[in-house]
Amino acid sequence: MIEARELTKQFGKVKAVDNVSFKVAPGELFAFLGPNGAGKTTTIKMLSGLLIPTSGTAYIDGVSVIDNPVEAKKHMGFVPDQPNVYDKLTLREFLNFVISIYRVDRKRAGQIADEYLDIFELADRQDELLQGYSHGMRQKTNIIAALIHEPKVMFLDEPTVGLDPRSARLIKDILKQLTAEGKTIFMSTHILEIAEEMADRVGIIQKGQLKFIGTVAELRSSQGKEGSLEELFLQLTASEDDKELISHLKG
Amino acid sequence: MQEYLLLLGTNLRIWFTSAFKAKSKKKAIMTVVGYLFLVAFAIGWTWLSYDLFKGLRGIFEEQGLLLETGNVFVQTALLTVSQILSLASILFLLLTGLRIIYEYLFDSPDMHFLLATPLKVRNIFAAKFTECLALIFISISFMTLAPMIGLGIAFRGGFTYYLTTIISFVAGFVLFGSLSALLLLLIMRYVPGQRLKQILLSATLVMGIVIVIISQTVSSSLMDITEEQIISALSGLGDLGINNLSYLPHVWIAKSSVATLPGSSVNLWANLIPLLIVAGLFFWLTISLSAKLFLSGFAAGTETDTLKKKKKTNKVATVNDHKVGNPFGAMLKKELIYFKREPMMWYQLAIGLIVMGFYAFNTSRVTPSPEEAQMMPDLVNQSVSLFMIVLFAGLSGPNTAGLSLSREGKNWRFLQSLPVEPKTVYWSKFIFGAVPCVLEGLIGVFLFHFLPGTPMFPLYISIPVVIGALLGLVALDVWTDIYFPNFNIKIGSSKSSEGTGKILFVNLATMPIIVLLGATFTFSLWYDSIGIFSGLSEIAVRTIAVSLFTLETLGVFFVCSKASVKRLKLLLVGAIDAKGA
Repeated sequence: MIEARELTKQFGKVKAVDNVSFKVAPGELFAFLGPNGAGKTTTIKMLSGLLIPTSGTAYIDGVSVIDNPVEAKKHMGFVPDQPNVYDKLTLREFLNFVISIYRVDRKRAGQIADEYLDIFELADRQDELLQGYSHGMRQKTNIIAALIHEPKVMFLDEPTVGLDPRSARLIKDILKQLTAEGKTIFMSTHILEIAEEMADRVGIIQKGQLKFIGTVAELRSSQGKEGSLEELFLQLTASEDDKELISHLKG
Repeated sequence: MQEYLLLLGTNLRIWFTSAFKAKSKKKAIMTVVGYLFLVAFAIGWTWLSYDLFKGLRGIFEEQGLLLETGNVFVQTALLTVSQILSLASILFLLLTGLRIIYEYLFDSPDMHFLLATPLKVRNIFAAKFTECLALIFISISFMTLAPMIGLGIAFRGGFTYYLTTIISFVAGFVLFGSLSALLLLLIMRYVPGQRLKQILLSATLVMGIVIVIISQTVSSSLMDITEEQIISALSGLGDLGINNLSYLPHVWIAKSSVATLPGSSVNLWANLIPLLIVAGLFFWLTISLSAKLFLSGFAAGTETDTLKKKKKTNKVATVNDHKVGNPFGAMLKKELIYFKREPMMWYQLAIGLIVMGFYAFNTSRVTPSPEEAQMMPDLVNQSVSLFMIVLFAGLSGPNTAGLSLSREGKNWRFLQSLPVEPKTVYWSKFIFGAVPCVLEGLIGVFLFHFLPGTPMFPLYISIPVVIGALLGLVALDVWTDIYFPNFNIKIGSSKSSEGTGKILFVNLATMPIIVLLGATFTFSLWYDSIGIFSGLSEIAVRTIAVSLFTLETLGVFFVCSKASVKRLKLLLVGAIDAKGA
């Protein structure tokens, strides 16, 4: 469903993403992990057609994101790390705008929108201008907008940041339901508990290079130790100095 | 005091670094050019003011009235002029200052960080407020202080004149800035932040429109004014007796300045001392109250309103058919909703129409002498009218079409993620830019056509010419924005100065095209000065002019549209970097 082939992105002299290849199957929830500045957002931007790779290619449901970006984007929903919405539109106007852009059945999409508005407790606020929405409400708006056209693939960049515990739980439930329906979820997160609890497989990127791809059990076996995903992640990504500091702090 | 100076010094360093030590040399050069432009404007404005006041002094001297000999009438007249200038400063302060004070003092993004540090709250507010006042003073003083300098040169003021004028104007800014901040605190108690921003922006724009109307009315009425009328007007204003009202701060400002002119009998200390005391008192009061009320939550009295639930409204799924939406219609609808809900758009349109209206009115009042009529055939006057309409309407373009893509701001990434064709984005942006320009152009055509005494072509010529020229210009404006988008621009924010430079750039790019179109349209007036065209028949000349004009407008329109769509294709997939994307 998602395929990255030797994706590379170079900004000047810096290689933000270096020759990354992987596949994510239908019905799979893939958690993309990495320290700050590792290349997660750049990879998501390349996969979702927001950034042209320096070399390599990506496919969404068999459609090349580079050669046919508009067609590829029809199959995907995208939730960015910063929830930006059109401030001067009301929530209802914003969702109707998205429905029209995706050229989907307006009645069906409207019903889905109403369902999610009820779930996220935004139904009463849909005639208010989005400029008055809080960060969490904007995040929910972005999530609903990414879901209303029933995409086959969802890209979520830090989707639970700024959400209250109830909404974060709801997101997790919705994502599980979507994967049960055969949808593909590609999610980047810093909250390793979420990745450990939900992901079928994880990918760990550091300094633009894919360090590991597989299940958490496979990660444990490759690192030769038991422990939480957090410990395994730190072991894999921390430098020798970092490891020394962590063991010192642990006493 | 140490903390206050530390905060001020830090803010000054931040400003200096962002203005002059920018990463790109281009930005640093542009900033320097911008400041040089302001200085040049201030010098020009001072020189013009000096010229006007020298003229006024000449009129007084012709009547034997001299300030140096202690003439009370001249002193009263100068006090009246100074009062008008100090009142103008206060008006400008309210015009731009309220928004700056709100954004820098009460809505500053670093305020919460600073409040969490062990700095004294009063020092934080004092530093922030000083920064606001300095910013307002710098942005306004060259408009109103420059004429006072001109007055000083014309009436031979010494060093003390310039010193007291600057001190009294600064004190006036502190006083009225403090009053504005206190008023804002009170308003914030009852109006939530988002709505307050809208109200402040709208109020600022309405005041801007009022100032344009006043200035246009004054310049229109000054067209045929005589020396006697000037003396009579100054005498009439002096007779109102406002100069004698010793409790008005703007009278203190005016009197403090005039007191130091040679021959003046006004008491300097009786005006400057109360002004300084009251200004200092209100500055202290503003700092103390701001610090106390802001922390106590007084100013956030209605912020919790937004959490109140409203009555349940209609659902999104109100459509009963199973039709699919139209991306172009959706994009266009979004743009037009933005047009409707953005006060800045209506402001630009209103200003353009007011200035054009006064131009038409003034033109209709001018009756050329038979010699002038012979020198300037109808075609010239009609062409000038037509291209003044194109110029006025075309100047709206940089503010709308010239920012059509950049105004996406941080939403650009969201738009990128949507399955939208570059053509769809382009045409929606083009129509968004074209609507205000064409609307203004058509209103201008009808205004010039129906106002008696205004030279104008018949409607069947003027309408297609104006629409054609404007569509070409809008295509050029949209192209410049698509080629050099800047998603950091915040429309309507006094903190974002990036939009101003961009609008200036688009204006400069548009001007040569307007001149070219005008020159082509008036081809029949100058063709015989070019050797190869001399001797052509009138029909041939007109055919060439119309063909060239059509070719130019269509050429600009098609070339810019095609290049824009091509560029958008790359921008939408992130193949090229865009500022702020």
